[in-house]
Amino acid sequence: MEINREFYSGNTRKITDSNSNMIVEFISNSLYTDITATPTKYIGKEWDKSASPWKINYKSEFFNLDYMLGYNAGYEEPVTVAQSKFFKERKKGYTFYLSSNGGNSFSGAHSRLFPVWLATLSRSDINLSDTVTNNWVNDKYKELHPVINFDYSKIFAVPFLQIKNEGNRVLFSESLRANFDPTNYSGWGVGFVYKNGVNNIDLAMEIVSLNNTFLTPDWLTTNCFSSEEFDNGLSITTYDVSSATVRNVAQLGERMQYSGNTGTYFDPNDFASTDIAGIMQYYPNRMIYINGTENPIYNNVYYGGFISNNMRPFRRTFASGVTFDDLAEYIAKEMAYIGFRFLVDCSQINQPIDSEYYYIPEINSAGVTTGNYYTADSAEAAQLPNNDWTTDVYSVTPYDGTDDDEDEDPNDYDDSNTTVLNPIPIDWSNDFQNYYVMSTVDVQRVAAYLYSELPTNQPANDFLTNNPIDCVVSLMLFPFEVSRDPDYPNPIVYFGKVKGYYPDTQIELIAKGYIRGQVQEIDCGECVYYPEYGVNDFRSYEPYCDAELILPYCGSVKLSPTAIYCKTTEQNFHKIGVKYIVDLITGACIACVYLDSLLIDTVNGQIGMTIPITGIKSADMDRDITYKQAAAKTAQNTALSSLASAVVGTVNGFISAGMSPNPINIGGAALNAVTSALSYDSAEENYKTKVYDLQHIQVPFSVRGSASPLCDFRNEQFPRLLIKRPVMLDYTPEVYAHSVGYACLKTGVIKEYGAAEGETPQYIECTGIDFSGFGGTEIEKARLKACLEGGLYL
Amino acid sequence: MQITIYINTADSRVANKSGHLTTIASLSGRPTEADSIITPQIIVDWKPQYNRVNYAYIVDFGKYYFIKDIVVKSGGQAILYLDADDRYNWYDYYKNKTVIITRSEKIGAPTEIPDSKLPIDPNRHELLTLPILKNGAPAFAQTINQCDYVLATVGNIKETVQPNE
Repeated sequence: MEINREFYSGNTRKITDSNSNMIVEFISNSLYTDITATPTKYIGKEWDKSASPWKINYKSEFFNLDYMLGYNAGYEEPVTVAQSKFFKERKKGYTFYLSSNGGNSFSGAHSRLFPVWLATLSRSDINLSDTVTNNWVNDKYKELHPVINFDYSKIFAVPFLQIKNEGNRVLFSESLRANFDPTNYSGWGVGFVYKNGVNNIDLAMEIVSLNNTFLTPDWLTTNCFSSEEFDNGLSITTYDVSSATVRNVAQLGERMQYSGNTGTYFDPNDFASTDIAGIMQYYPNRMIYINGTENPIYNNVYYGGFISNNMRPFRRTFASGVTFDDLAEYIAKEMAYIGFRFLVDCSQINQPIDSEYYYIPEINSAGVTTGNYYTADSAEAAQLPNNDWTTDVYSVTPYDGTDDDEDEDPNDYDDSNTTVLNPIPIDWSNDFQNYYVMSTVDVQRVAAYLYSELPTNQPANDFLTNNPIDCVVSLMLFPFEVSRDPDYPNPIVYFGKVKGYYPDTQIELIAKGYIRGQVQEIDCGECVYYPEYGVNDFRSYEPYCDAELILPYCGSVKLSPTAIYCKTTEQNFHKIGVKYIVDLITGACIACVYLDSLLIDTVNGQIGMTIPITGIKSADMDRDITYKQAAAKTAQNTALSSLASAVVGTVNGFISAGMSPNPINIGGAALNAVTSALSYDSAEENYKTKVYDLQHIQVPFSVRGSASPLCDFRNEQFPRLLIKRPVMLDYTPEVYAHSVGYACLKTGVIKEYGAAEGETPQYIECTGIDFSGFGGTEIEKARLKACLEGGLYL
Repeated sequence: MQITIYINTADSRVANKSGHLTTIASLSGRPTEADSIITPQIIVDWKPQYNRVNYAYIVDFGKYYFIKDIVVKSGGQAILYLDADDRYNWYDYYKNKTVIITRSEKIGAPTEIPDSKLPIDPNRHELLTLPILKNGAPAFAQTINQCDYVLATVGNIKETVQPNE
């Protein structure tokens, strides 16, 4: 199963399988910020539980942790220092007690809690408690082997503090101690104020985050420290090495015992408070007793002691005969995986941490260690985010745009500087109406058609409205050739469902085509302006120079002369281009101003001119005629009928009168005749009215569209770039230059701006002179300054 | 003190006046009273032929001076009112200094730095235009024949007339 090591800021280390399931998450003890620990007496092989063993304050977030892994250096095996049982027993609050496996006691004098990882398991099928039986070979836990089996005892890296004074001079280096005063925390979360008041601390152990500290279990101070840089009266206690009572020197985490197995571990109280170095001793060519045995296991061991001229690098010879040198690469890589900065030569501990003696691990931008490492003075190391002690690795350095800003410009510029217009998402053309492209002649034919009578064989409702004119939506004139749909050349012009035709010849009305899409782009071209005075002359820029773009149908737009011509070493001039985007349905347009390929400005306008089109409502007219014809006919019939009645009535009346000798009856008959005659007259009058109506039918016209002004059509039909630039008064440049010089802002040596030997001196004014080495009085200095600023000929 | 008097033909602002000085005489003089060495007043014995002098060098001070005024006294003496020529006196000191040049004849032409002294006409401007053309021609129509109409009618029948073959 592939193991992925990840090291995050906040000092969390995860091990995941190839499916990114977290197996184990380690959190270094460096999250402890408040550490107190009280040593206890070591009795026999157990801590005196009545005295507090390691008491570590930790953050409440860790209550959920299941295990704490440590490494008991007294045993060549990892130990679950705290088990779930233990954690259940822990007190709520901020303390818990370390215990070794199986109980609440250490089996070693000092459990090597460095590095201490708090582990939490995220997979239920892995139970670290199984490891109590040291069943590490179990395939189930194989993925943990690289971590758990890591031989921390063979770590030759030395965690230490390097304390410097104000002059950045290293006073001493020392491993982190468990019993330092927590009230003096400062800096990286490790507050260590040396009692002499030194409080600038460089935390020399690489931890890829801030505010970390390491808990080191040992009362053993580092085996390496400086004896050369002591200041402030520090001293080191030395011991008589010839004494039979030999104090063993142990590597970090090593158990140490007095020979003779008194059971008393070394007690820091043995040392003076000024003895910050503790028990560092150098035993050249001496035997080292380890593990309290009489028989030295290790022979000819070099160990770190005072970093002095007698210093030797530490090297451990394993019983198996494998030397450190063989493991160096392995160890270094594992250290790099963990994320430690490390030394391999303890004698160099006092070297600057960015020197060749230190190695720093590679951590990529995601905070993941790669296992690679570099000497701290290498170019590769300089690029690493964890290279700088004092900088929060994961902080973002604000980019301030200065030339020496090491951060890249974070702005995500468009390198192409090109505007790409969107394709039109909606095109209503030719969906609900027909949009015909027509010439003038075509339009005239349409007009003729619209004035013609309704064809007798054409139902009115085929027009979809009442009249052909009502089918016309709009007529618009464009001052350019409208793009046509190539799929439909020469379309017949339809009004509703009715083909238009030419009235005289009945030939179908044909258009040039359909419009090709609702929007058309017109490229008007481009130009380049080369300023008269050049790009390095102030007269080419505002406010001395103005530029304006005149855009037909849209108006005008101001341009900055700076935008028109750019000032580069290649004297590259911009092109000013104009494109129109026209809506062929509404006639609206947008003039787009381009600087090379980049759209820099737009102006709205109206380019399509509405043409009013009129026509007869021929159907209405026909209907009107028909109705009035019918009405006249009816009126006529009525009149004739009345006349007949009147004539008959009159005859009847007179006949009656003739046959009667009664003259009175004759009057009655006459009256009847008159009445009949009157009836006829009324009908005839009505008839005449109807005929009049028929003869005076008003032709029903309809007008489509209102006229829009064609004034812009009279304007110039191309854009113009208008440049307004200054005019010079009459002057002689050479005289001007010699009298007052040209304004500039250069830095240089004064005499280089003067004339060559033998030539006429040239005018110069200057300022900002450094009067170092001036041998005159203050008055002379002021006068000279005035002379230089006032001008001289050189 | 020894004072050498010259006729200087160079502009007072010329820094290095060697080559522009014509020695007239070397005189002995004394200060009139307690004086600054920058603007001393020196009494010398005067002769008419000295009347055109305008420049002096005082050996004791090691400085060159403009003669600002000559006041003739009775008894054949004159008082020379002198003013130190700072440009010439300190020429060797400042000629190799690196400074900020604010005006220069040598630069030869106006620069990006606005120059209020340059004689730009405050009232007049030149107006020029550049036509923007596509392949040398205007983008929009010049005649009605180059225009197109768009007629919109209701309906959606697309029927075309096939061109005669």
